Amino acid sequence: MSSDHALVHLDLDAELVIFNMQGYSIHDGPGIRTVVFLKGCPLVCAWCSNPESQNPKPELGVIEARCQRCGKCLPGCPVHGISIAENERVVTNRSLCTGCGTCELVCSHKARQVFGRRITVGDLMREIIKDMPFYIRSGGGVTFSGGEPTLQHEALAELLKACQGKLIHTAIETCGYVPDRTKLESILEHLDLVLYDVKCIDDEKHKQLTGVSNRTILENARRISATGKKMIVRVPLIPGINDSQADIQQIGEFVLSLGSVRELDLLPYHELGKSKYEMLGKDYALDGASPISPDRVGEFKSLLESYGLKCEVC
Amino acid sequence: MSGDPNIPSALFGGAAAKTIGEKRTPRTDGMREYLLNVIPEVSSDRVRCYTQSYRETESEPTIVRRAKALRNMLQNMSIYKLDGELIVGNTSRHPRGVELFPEYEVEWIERELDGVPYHFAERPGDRYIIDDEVKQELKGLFPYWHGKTHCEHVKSMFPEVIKKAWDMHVIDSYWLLQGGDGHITINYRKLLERGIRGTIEEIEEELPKVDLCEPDGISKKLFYDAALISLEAAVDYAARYAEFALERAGKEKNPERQKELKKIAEICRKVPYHPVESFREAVQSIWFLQALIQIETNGHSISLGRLDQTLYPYYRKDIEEGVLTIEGAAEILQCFWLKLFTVNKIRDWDSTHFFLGYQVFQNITIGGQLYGGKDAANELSFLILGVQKAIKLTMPSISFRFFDGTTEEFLQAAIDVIGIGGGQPALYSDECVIPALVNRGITYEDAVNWSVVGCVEPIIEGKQSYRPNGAAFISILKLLEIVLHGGEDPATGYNLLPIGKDLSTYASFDDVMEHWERQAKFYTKQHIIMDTIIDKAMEEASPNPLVSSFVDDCIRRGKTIKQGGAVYDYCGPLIVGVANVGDSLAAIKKLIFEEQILNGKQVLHALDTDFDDETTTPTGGEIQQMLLCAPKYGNDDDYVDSLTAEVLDLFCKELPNYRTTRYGRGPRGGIWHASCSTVSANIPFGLSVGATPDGRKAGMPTADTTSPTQGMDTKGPLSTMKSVAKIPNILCSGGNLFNMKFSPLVLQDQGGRSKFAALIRTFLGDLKGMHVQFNMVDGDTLRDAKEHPEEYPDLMVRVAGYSALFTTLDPKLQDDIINRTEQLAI
Repeated sequence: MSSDHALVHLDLDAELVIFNMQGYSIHDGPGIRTVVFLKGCPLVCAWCSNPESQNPKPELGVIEARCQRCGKCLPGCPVHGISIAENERVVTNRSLCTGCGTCELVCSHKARQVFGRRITVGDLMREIIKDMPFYIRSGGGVTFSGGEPTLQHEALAELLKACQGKLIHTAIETCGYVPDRTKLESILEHLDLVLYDVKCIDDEKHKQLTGVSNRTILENARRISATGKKMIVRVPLIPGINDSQADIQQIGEFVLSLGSVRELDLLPYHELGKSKYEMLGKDYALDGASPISPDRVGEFKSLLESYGLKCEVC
Repeated sequence: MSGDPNIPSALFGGAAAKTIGEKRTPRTDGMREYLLNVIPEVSSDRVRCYTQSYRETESEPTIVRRAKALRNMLQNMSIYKLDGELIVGNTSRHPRGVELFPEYEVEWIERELDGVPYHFAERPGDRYIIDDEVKQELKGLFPYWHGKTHCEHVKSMFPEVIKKAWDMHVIDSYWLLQGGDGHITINYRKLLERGIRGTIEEIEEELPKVDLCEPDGISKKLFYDAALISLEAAVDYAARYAEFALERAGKEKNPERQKELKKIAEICRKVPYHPVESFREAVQSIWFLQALIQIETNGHSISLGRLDQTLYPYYRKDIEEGVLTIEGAAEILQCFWLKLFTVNKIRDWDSTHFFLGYQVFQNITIGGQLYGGKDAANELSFLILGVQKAIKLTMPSISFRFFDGTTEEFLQAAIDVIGIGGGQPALYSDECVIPALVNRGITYEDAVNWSVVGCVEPIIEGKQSYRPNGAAFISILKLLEIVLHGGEDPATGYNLLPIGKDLSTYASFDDVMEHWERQAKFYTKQHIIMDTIIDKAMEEASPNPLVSSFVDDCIRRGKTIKQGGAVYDYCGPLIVGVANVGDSLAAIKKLIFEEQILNGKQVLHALDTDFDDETTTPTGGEIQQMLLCAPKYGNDDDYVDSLTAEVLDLFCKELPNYRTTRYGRGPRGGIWHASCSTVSANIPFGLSVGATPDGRKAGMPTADTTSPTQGMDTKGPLSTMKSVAKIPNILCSGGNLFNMKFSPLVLQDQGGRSKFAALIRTFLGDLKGMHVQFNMVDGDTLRDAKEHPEEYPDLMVRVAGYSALFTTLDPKLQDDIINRTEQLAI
């Protein structure tokens, strides 16, 4: 088949860990897109709506409310990591858990779910190609998100090449924290669009909120911009964190300074990821934060547009 | 006028017409409010008129008796006019009320009048009120019909095997024993251009040519006689309205209203007898016939065809001459929509389950293409979308014909209406339907002029017989259950075609498929026998001369539709449970025969114990879990999608081997073909099927239509659409149906709407899906509406091929709708 011929120089057996694929995504680049979520992230943002994306390996999620305490998951666990506590609750020892998924298969109450699976470049391409008619008709394509997709840059580069070979429009969503710039460069040439997160310009605040300095991030943004690669800056609007007039002004000015970037998306904070923290046994740092009002978001939009930027709210 | 490539589209800009149409006027706003709050009432007018006439005509030929009974009804039924109505004519004594049709069946009515299973007013859904006097009158009239009804006639002809197959709930078409076929669109263009007068003239030309020495001479003459009686009665019925309006005008003090009433009287004197000369006359003429056909037959799904094409010449002329404004046209159409909403039909409670939501399925088709592939959409197409948005009721249904040349402006106008919820309009693809019809022998010239009747059935308006699909059901999930049990139905113990082995002893998956095919063919044949008997009974005992007068070539041939009068004639069953059977076969193939994780005996035991036996290893619950994890249709997985396609393909190929009662008697076709429009029958059919290998518990609904099993399409809308496009839609010329539910969020900005349009274009244009309709509501809204119906009186949802007021639905159906996978774009 001609399709196999096009893939002949690629490492189709390279593996990735992904935790989701989402067809008909309409806010992650042009047209109808299929978003592939790659697992693993160097940042730990307080507001992260995909906490299951942070750990690079498959990991177990438990929905406590569904657990009927039947104990069926106990005997099958290969590392003997599941036990019943005195209060009859099923307890999972996360330090032993490898995320193998044996317990997910036997749980008839759907209380256990493994986030993340290994998949080869070849198998993932077969999935991506399935939505081809929708990409063609809508001017869409595939977006690699995460987590931070560049953490799996080797396999990602193979995937991007495969997509290019099929003339599929490619995008990544990146946090920009890629200290080794050669990794970024290895994938940049195979990309049509970079969706680039900028959280805040104040470095102290950035460290506090994400665990890392933003110096590398801002530097990489300048570098990508200098190549003339199509780039859209995305700003998650987080209540109490970067929702002051000054924050937005600084971001607007930074984007302007990039020269070639003229588009910016605002992503207002939402709580849709909250339940996943519970599933993973993690604390939700932003508990009780109230969403930013649409009016306030509108003000920020106008402010950014006053810089001559095209601004969309996703 | 259709097929005229010289008709320009969108004179003034369609979007503007739509915007004008979508504002209700004070007149239509008041009427809508009134009608929405009416509880439908049962009337005895028709039973009284028909009983009286049938008593007096016992010695006469059936077809003439039918015509005379209709005449008696039209001369004596109560007529009314609501305040403000511009379009007049009623099908029953009460607005949204119902008449009864004793010639078809009275047993169920007598039963339900006594409260078995429910009194009309106490039904869990689709309630009716009935006055005590009316009740007593009906009880007095019904005994005349004992032993004379269509239902009894049919049942007396059913062989034992059919009765058993029916009791097993493999086949069912009870509603066809209670009323006529319906499912037709008459030649409205001819009505407008020539009037009833033209049809009378046509008959008068044919009558002298009848040679009574010929074998069919007398049958022709009787048809013509009966048609003339019916047509004259139709004209008299309109004249009653003229008198009624004049009388009201005499008493009216307000000069404006008086003028309005006089205008109505003038129009009712003219149409439907004469050719129409204005847009308003055209609408009034169409409505009169639409109402009259309902009174004649009680068949639902009587539809309007390509209304944007039929009415356009009159609209355009009036606009150009300055005698009509777009606003005026919009108000007339809104009044017409409200009249269509008043049409209602009562069915017995069991059948009501199959058609919930006070539905009579009146479809209006817009858009599509003209002969030669030119875009057919005009301002009226846009205006109709606007009017639909303004009136937003369960009837009429709007069917939007998409083709590759559909403009983005027109598609966006449709998406705007979809966005308000209610599942309107439904979208159909010319790219699939036209080749599907041509494949059945319909000429390209006619195929390009197709429209929708009922839920989703493509029909050639004015040229095709009743029921383009049979609207009778085959439950193929029950069939599968039978195959797994060696030919035996576990519920009744009947085994009509014993296999000698069952799931525990089948040697291979091919062995399963071989017996599946054999049983499927056997029960398909039983269905054909059943429906043929019904057709034969309809032909003999309840011919319909009025509707036949407006279907080509009945008059030229001197035949009613059932005698083979129509140019085209097809029929065929609705196949229920496609996705469940595909999913079940995939699970059997993978788990039992390929991976051998389970054996047939274990699975069969788990099914028979409804997955509740916890003493086995693995337990029933674990087996259910394994079955649920097998590949499922709706996720773009070829493993199961190809099996699902194969399941449907079997029926698509088998059905056309059989002939209808009209074969060789005039029409092209005369064969059976497939459809997967289940209406809401997936719920009652699910009740009688035990647990199945797709992991479904006993009694749960089957999947609806061609949609994936509820909640099993987990990979999002693109994958679901890809799966649905893989089944043989093009062979389902009886019409396929595919429901999707979206969150309104996906349409919140222009970008979202453009991408939604691309989604539609990909599915209907590139993948050549046949049909898709979208429910734009979120699960929380529906749950809240179920809890607090009083807050959601006009929440409309698409049930199957039609929309229903959510709060009037049976709670089980409400749950079913809530459970369908919500396709959220994140």
